[in-house]
Amino acid sequence: MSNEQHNQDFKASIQKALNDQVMRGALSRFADAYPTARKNAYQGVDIEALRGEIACAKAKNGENLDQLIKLFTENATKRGAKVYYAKTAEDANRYIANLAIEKKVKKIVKSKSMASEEIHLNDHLKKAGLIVNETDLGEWIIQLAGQKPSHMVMPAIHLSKEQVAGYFSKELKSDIPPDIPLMVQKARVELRTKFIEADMGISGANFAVAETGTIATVTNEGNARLTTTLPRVHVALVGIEKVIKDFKEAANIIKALPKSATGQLITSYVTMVTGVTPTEVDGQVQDKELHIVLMDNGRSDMLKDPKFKQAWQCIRCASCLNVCPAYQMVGGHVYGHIYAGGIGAILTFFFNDPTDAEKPQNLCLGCGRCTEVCPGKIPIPDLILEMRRRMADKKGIGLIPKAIFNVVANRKLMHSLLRVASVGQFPLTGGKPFIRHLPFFFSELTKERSLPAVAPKPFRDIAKEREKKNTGKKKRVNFYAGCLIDFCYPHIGTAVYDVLEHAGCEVYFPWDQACCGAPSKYMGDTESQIRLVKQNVAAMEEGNPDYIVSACPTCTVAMMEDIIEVLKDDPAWCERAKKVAAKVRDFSALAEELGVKAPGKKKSLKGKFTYHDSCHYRRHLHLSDVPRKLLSEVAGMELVEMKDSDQCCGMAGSYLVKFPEISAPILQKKLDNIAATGSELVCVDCPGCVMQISGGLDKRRSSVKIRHTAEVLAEALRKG
Amino acid sequence: MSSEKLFSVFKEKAGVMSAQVHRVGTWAQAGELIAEQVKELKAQRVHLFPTPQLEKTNCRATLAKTGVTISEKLDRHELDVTDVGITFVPYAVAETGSIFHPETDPLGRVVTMLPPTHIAVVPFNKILPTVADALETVVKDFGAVPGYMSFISGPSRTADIERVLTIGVHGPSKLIVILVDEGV
Ligand code: SF4
Ligand code: SF4
Repeated sequence: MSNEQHNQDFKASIQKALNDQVMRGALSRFADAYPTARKNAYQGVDIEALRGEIACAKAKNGENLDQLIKLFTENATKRGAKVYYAKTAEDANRYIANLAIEKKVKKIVKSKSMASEEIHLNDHLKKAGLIVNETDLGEWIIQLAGQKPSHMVMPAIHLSKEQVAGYFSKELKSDIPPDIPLMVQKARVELRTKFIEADMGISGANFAVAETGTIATVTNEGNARLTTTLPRVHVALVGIEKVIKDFKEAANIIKALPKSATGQLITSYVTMVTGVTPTEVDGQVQDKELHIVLMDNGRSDMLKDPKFKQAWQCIRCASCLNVCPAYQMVGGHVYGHIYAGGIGAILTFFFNDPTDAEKPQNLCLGCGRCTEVCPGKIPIPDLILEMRRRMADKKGIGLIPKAIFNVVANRKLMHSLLRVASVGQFPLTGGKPFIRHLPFFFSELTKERSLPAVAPKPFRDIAKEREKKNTGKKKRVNFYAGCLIDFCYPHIGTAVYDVLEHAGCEVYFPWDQACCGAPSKYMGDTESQIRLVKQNVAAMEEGNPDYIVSACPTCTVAMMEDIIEVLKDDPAWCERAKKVAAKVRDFSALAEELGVKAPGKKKSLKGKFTYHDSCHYRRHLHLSDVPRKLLSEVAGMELVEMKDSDQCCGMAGSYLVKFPEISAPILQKKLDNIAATGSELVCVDCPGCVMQISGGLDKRRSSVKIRHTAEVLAEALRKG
Repeated sequence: MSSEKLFSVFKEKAGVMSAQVHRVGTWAQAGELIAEQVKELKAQRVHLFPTPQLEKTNCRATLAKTGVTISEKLDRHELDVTDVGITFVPYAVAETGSIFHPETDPLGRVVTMLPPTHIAVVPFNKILPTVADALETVVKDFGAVPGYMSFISGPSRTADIERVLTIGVHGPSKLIVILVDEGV
């Protein structure tokens, strides 16, 4: 398939998903209910401590994998199980099919196993002439529909009861109404016979305990218990990442998994099988056979990778999907292979084929909401970026983006080009000074999207004026403007100056500053990123400032963390970067540190406001409380929280140019949540969010205003 | 934690998981209650998994009075059509409202899986605080890891169609737990 064809197919699958009202409805209902359910389920549990223990134990298990596998094998064997190590998907498929034939198995029942989906086990068994029935209700529906699961835990979440009734009617050859309890009963009766007649049961495992040789399933329906009890042969297909050390670790997983997966206190059943147990066959009691297939299939490669080994910490709870704004819009199928969401792209990269992960990984907004809830504490967006970087290294990032970065490094050139372009665009925008998204301005990616305003006068021109009154006697702050404030929102820069001057500082604008390099990073272009970063480090050293401040969290993170990370192999530069990074503050953090105070006794601003948490701001800088406090206490306004204030607005760098169709509904949700608060003002700390949200508000002709915290503070201080 | 406190946590959490919880003073009273429940369910057949602890309830006699058919036969076809499965379960777990059932005997297992109602008789003084405690205790008590162990929390359930919670899929749609104060 050509690349262009591939692209079109991917875009078409996204469009199909977005048009699927049934799925959108189900996903959004679940997404709405999930955070509260999760919170209630975890009540009284120290989540952070539990996450820490799980992440740490899983990482350690990865380090000792060979030993753990040996131990597990010994202990399970001692109890009469046969353990087979399957290096590849083919090995696992072949082993299970051969076993079935050797044991004269005709009918197989299966309980839910993502590992078996991953290797298409059912197809393989069917080819060998065996009758296979899924017995988990969701999986059975999917099997009848001839589809694949769209969620790790809730495989049929994308189907409506009417659709399910259709599949049931066909299978059961009678007219089944779309009545959920009735359909569940039909499934019970139909599958009961299959359980009773089956010769082999195939299960997955949620964990396998090395010290005892135990395998465990964490389930709700009871089908896994029947699968592991009634048939005379039991096969457990277990990914090697499921092997843990002992019962203590097991107890932690039992504690976290149901709560994280569906917000349940615990599942109806947690079943632990250790070795061979007796069963009844034709009225006689006999020991059943237990075969445990430990499957690698790319997992050990992932573990050997210095970066991706973190994905080993996954316990497959799917809570990352449950909170993911991109997943909520498009569901699981567009991710191509079996595993969905950000973690799905990573698993596909290793378990299936790196090229299969190429398109789906782009769906990640990098918002970091997943990492916040992940029981394995996996930095999913960082791993996605790493994947992107590797893909870019392999394929190159194309000539056009390369050209952009030459421009963004040269601010004068960028200026003049922007101005020409913004003037040139006037006829197209009805006289409004709009321009395509910065700094992806020249990129082919911007075809579909407009357009933040370009200010008639960039901030650097304003800075020149303001610097004249500096005495050199007060605290020196170097202002890092970033592209959006410099070219589109200079008034935010002005506000930053006002507040910091009020707090007794003198603010300077180092002229050689360039783009922070974040766009290069997100496109996987490390080379350009390094060039930009060096230019900025040198610029920000100017005048040996007390602080370096930025009012764009993406830039702040870039100047605090990325500059050290990308220069780590260059000791001299890295030292300089560290010194610079130590002085960097985000605007609100510095305002708090400098003790900006309310001007008078009277509250200076009145009225309500709501607050939107920008992704980088909340999850990298952990500053959510600071602006809320500044805005209420210093500016004197009343905070009305919106629903899901921490949910991405859909901006996320180049996302809105790559996936405008996904970005748009994410934005609509944000706008609805803002409107529901009834406040006329929404505050944020990120100019990117200002751009995205104000665009949306304009389009709706909403009277709600959006302001950067700096602007509101400046106004309050002015009035006071 | 005191046993009363453990009981109150267990009762609350088991309630969250939609289990029915009863507490009685003696084994004999448990036997009476089993018969009462079976009558209320209008059950026609029940399956017992005979263990010395269950015998102490004398439920065979109390059940006989209700006129139900009592079976102890390990036969999957018969078990498929029985109405109630009755077992002794040695532990409960407070934090999750679960009963904890280590059982390798095939009849002991299937009576908890196939019938639409499961009645479990559990010693009151064996409510353990956590899942971790249960796993530790069972190994101590049994001297080895039992071949098949289950934490059972409420009835079988699914939300696989449109996220609508539906009780009673492949396992029981009712779980009745009877805690007995009198020691084993
Ligand atoms: S970073 Fe955001 S968009 Fe990406 S996978 Fe995580 S939740 Fe989804
Ligand atoms: S990545 Fe984390 S949140 Fe996602 S399935 Fe794995 S453990 Fe759960």
